[in-house]
Amino acid sequence: MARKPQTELPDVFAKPGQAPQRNTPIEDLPKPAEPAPAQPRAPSGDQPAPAAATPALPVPAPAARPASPPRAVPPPCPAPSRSAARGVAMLAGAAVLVALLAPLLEDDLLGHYGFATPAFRAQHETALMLSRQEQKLRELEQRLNEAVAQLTATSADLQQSAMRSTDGVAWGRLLSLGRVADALRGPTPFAVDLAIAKSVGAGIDEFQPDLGKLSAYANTGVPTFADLNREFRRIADEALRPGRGILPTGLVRRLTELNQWTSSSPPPADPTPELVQSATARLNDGDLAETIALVRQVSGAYQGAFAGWLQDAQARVNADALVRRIDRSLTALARELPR
Amino acid sequence: MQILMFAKQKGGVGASTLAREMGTLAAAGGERVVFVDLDPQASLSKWWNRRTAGAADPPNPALAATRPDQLLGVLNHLRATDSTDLVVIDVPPSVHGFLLGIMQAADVIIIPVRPTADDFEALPDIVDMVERAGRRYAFVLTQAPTGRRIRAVEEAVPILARQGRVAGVVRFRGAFPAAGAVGRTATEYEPNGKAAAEMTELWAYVGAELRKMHRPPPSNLAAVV
Repeated sequence: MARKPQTELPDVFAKPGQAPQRNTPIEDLPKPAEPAPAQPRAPSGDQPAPAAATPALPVPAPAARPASPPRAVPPPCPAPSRSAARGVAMLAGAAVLVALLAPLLEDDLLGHYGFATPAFRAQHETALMLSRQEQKLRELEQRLNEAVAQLTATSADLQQSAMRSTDGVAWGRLLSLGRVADALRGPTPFAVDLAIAKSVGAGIDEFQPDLGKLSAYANTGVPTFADLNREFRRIADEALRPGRGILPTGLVRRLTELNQWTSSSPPPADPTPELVQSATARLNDGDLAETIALVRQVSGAYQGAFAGWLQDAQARVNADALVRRIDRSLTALARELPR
Repeated sequence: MQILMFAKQKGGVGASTLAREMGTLAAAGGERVVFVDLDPQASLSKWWNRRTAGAADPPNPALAATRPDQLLGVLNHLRATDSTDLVVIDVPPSVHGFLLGIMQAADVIIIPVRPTADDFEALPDIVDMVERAGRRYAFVLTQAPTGRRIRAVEEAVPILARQGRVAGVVRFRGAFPAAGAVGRTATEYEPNGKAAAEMTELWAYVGAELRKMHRPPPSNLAAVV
């Protein structure tokens, strides 16, 4: 890289060999107010630093404070007048009123100014959850409508095909089974596909026991591996990090145990952190069945946290197994079709 | 102008050493570098004084003498005067709320950490703060024992990697204190040594991270037209 010309240095730079050898401890500074969460910033080399309560440049060394004039003796306080006493009484009354109304106004008032009280947060989270559920319902409805429209079109095609070909029924079975398998592969609802497959006699009955295990997911779809991976990490973080810690306590303890100089620390009583760590490793390897087996062993205190995830994960394992069976059946059906 | 910050929760992790090595390598590559030393111990400033004592020309890397509460103003000034390509900031071991503002101004934050349980237990607070700042960051495992298969290092790297990127491993080598004593860096003091090789490799990573965050200023279309 070509060396750039060193421009004349502004006065903010220290002179060679004369940099101050002691700086103001940061702890001596007043603690700033908690800033807003960081906004994602476009990478740039030319954006200004965030505004801060700092004085503008140039930055002179703090000048010696001039000797302060002798402090004047304040005049004696006058005795409070009657009107002042009335004012004080009114202020006290107002203060009592505010104190009495505060519990009623706290959430709205503080929420208005951006302070999140527990009740405000709970209300906000509930609203958010409802909004998400509504959105999910809308998405599901849309998917269902699309699926019905697509299936109607497919059925029409199939009918035409059936009229054109004596093998139409076989094609119909093949396509409808294929749609069920496709729906099971992703997080797509498969109730409609299943109904169509049954109506065209696609031989879906042979898969009924396995489909029965997934009936709870017919209208919502089975979560994908990626969904489960994400959800597992979220649950593990929440369950195993009691404070605001970032690194899982299990990882820190593991290192502590592995280092020779701390080998005297007692072994952990609860195997859950280790189990979750192993499960995470299995999940990273893509081995969902083994992950489930490990998570099932977590101690009682954590079972509740992982219960929903276990159910979803087992459904995904069942769905994948079912898809493999359907695929084999599809291959067999395809062989029967004329070339 | 870009900002490289070295943040830590524990002292003695080698942040000042990394800062001077990275800054000097950047300067050797043609960048106009400015050090900012906010650590009251002023290790970086003292090293810079040893390095530049008696120098006649404006040194590169330069050093901006600023109090912590004036830093953001200084950064804006440097940006406005276009006198600097890279600012390397060394801060004291702290998670004081004041540092969050500096982190948010940084392009890349490096968190040096030694492979000890004490260091790892001190990590969550600083990582929490860096993540709140929302800036790109990476760990550097510092003062690692030399040797091919050191258990503490072998275990530490994957643990750090689960939390974030690991920029590299820097071993405990005599070249660092020897070079520092005469105001030099390991890459200058022993250019063919292992310490220099590690630092060059680390700078390749850090420089690449900085380049990812760099966007050249828009060209003056009016002038072209």
